[in-house]
Amino acid sequence: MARQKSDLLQGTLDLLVLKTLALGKLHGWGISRHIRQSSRDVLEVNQGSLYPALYRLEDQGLIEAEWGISSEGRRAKFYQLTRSGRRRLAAEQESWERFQTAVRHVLEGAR
Amino acid sequence: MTGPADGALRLLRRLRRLLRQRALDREMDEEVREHLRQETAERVARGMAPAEARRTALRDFGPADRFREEARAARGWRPFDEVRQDLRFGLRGLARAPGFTVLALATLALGIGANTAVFSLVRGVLLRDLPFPAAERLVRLHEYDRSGQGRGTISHANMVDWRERATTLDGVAAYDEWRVSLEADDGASVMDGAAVSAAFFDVLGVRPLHGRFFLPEEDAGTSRVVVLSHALWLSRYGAESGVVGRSLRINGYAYEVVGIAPPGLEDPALSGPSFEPPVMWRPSLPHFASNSRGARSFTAIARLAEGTSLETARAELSTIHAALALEYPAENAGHVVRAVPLMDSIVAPARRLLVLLMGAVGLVLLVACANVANLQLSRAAGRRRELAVRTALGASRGRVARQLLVESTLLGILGGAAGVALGAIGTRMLVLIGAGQLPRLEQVRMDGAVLAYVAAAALLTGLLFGLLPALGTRSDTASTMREAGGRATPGRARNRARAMLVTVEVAMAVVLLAGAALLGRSLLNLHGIEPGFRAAGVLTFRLSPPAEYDAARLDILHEQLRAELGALPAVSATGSVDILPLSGSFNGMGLRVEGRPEVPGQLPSAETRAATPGFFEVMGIPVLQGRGITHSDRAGAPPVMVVSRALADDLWPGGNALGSRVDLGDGVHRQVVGIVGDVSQFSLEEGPSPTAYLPDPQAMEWMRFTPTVVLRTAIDPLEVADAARAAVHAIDPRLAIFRMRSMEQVVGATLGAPRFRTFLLALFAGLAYVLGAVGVYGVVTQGVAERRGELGVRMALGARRAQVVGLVMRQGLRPVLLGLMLGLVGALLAGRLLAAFLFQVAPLDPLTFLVVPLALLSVACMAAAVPALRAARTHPASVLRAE
Repeated sequence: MARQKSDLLQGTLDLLVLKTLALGKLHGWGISRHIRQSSRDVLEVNQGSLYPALYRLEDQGLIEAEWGISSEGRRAKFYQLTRSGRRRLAAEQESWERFQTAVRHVLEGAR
Repeated sequence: MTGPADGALRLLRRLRRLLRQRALDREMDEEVREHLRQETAERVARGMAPAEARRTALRDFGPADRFREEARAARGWRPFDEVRQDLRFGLRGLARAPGFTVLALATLALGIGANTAVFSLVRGVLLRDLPFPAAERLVRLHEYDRSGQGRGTISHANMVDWRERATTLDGVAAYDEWRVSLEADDGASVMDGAAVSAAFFDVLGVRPLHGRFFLPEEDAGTSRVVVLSHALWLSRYGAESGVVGRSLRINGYAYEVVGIAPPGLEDPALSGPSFEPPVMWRPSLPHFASNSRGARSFTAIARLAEGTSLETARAELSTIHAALALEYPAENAGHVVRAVPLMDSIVAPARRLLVLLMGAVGLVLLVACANVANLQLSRAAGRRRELAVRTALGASRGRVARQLLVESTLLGILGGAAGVALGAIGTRMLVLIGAGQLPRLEQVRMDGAVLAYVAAAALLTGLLFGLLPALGTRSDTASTMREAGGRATPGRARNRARAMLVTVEVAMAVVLLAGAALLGRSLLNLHGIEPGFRAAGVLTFRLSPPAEYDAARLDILHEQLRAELGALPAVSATGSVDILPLSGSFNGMGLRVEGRPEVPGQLPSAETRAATPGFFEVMGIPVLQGRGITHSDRAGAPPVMVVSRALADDLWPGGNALGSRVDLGDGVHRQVVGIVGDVSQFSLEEGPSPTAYLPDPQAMEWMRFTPTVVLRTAIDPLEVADAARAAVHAIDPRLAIFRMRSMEQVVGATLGAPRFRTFLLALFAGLAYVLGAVGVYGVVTQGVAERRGELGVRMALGARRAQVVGLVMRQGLRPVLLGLMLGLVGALLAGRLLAAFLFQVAPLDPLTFLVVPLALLSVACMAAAVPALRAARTHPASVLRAE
């Protein structure tokens, strides 16, 4: 049970991270804040699962990381999309939208 | 989802990160810290109290440990992490059992070290290519008579014909020993050189380092030019290229240095049997071409034409030689020519010994493996509870087995590393004591191939002895837990496995010990052989007189030597001979007995020596009939010869040798005037060779040029050495002295080979013996420890101590007895392989087959008795209470 839920979350989280990074380089905390703000505080990223997600995406070669200086002048690790990350984002986004539409059709039909 | 290229990329990324693991962990920590700082700052900005903000930020982040695990898993590290964990567990486990670890490592290091050393020998001597281009096309050419007799040396005239007629050979070259007396301001030094056909270097395919090699016209033998060996060029001329063109005084003549040879030509196998590596080469000597076709005293090498098989070349040579036998029946009838790959001809004598040694160290390694497997099993028994607990707590069975395998592989690797270190020392030792017994030792070194072999051996042994205990973990967990509770008797399967290992160890030890004993007995027998002369109290040395010494001057020299050396205190007799017994040189000549019909191709032959009157007296060779050589046998006197008893029996079975006349091929008819005792000329094993002795002044001139002086002394012969040297130089300071040795040293040198192999086999057998004893001790001790409860109960119920001791020992010795029997069968088989090395010992020597098992049995009894007595001494009450 628990495993299924986290899998679902994970897939979604990956998509959210990729989408966020499509806007530009960002560090970990920035990613989590962006997701929270752009979802108008609806989506709260579990911080403890954000980093494993980042490392996993890095391992898959979808994003890459480098150390840089944040806007506050502090050392921070910045993540950005790779080319295969961009391709993956397009594919995931499309499949997410299909999924969403399908769910909406089901829900509207039921109403 | 991902293609293979992606997979490979990801693996690469992982490996790169794995190498940076610590740095990455640090970066991760830093990243998380920064994250928490920013989160806290934001919460404070939203109006939270700083302390509260930090607490909630931490809480929302989640437990740090789990995070770290997940982060690592996300990076794809789990398999690596698990192996690392296994390694850490393994190291910790080994450190926790220092006794076990030290014993296991020492055992492995010895086993692997012995293998490393012997394999580096095998690699250097047998497996490394000769240092010549396309060396596989090089062959050595031999001539033998039909019975396969003779030493394979060839006739120069025949060689020239082969060279001209054969299309399957690219080049043929002959060579011969050439003694070099190199004169300098501080006196002459005598060294070994070689006289070679001009084509010699071309056949080998080498190029000069400086200058040139020989020109075809220099084959006439009249040009005095030399090519220096690389070693001499380094040691004597400081590697200066200016030495090319310089003139050297050699054997009384001026020779011009025309070139420097590259390294790698120093192999003694390329010169002569009794020779040191040649220090220089000159083109053919005049006698190369002038010698009669029947004189077979040359060594020949040839290069097969490109694309020609050895068989084709052999067939063509046989055809050519058949034609030569028709053209020159007197010299060639009954002879055959053989081509043997040069590599084979160099290493063939060593191959059997090296195979034997490989077999021996292989057995040692097996014993070591069995021993460590045994130790592992004993240890696994003690750890069953630990392993069972881990299984019960959810470690998969595969994981536990893998941990055991990792542990034993770790032992294998550590043992291998120690073995390499030991092996390096062992290799150096083998090269040192093997000098003179094995060819190509200068090629022996530890290289990649040796290290690869060791690594494979170490890993294989690790797997081999790790597998058994790992398989043992298959037993079911619940019963193990019960058993570990202390009541049950130990598993039978495990005991059987241990007993089997002891059986294996003992069997191998028996095979090795029996082999060593057989070789040892052979060596003793060789020592006991009468060589036909009295070696004790004889000093020998060779002389190289200046070039202008002619026959008459040599006669005077011998007179002077007799007077000067005989006058030394402690010297009772002096004499000389051209070739000393057991010195490695030979000079076989055909004999024609006057008045006896001659069968072509069946000319009897005998070793021929030029000796002075004192020779027989100094050497203690008895005159059996007639007379020895006397001072009246001068150059102009009637030519005579003295024959050894074996030769007399061969040629004159009727006993009428004295008075017969014999022609040695020089047209002189020598009368047999005496018969002397037989002497082993070549080796103690071969025994006496039929020999003819000529008075030195009547011998062929070439036999006389480098005499060996022998002195009989009343004291240690080497103490006379300096006085003898001074006396010789008082006659003529230009007389070069070399190879000064006592006759006992000469004899000892011929025993070097059997001594070498006996020592090594005894060493390896000793190793197996000790390891076997340790194995028996370990198993019995462990058996007693596991049965403490049972034994305690037995004693509490009234069993007497003797009964307990008997019980324990019976059980400990059963696998030993089985091993002894199996080992004896193995030793019977091994004895057949050893037969070539045995001397006057049957492979089934009853003494060996009685003593060896007894020796093993007695040490096994001792090894079993110690724990048995200890078991019997324990107080039953203390055991029962401990339960």
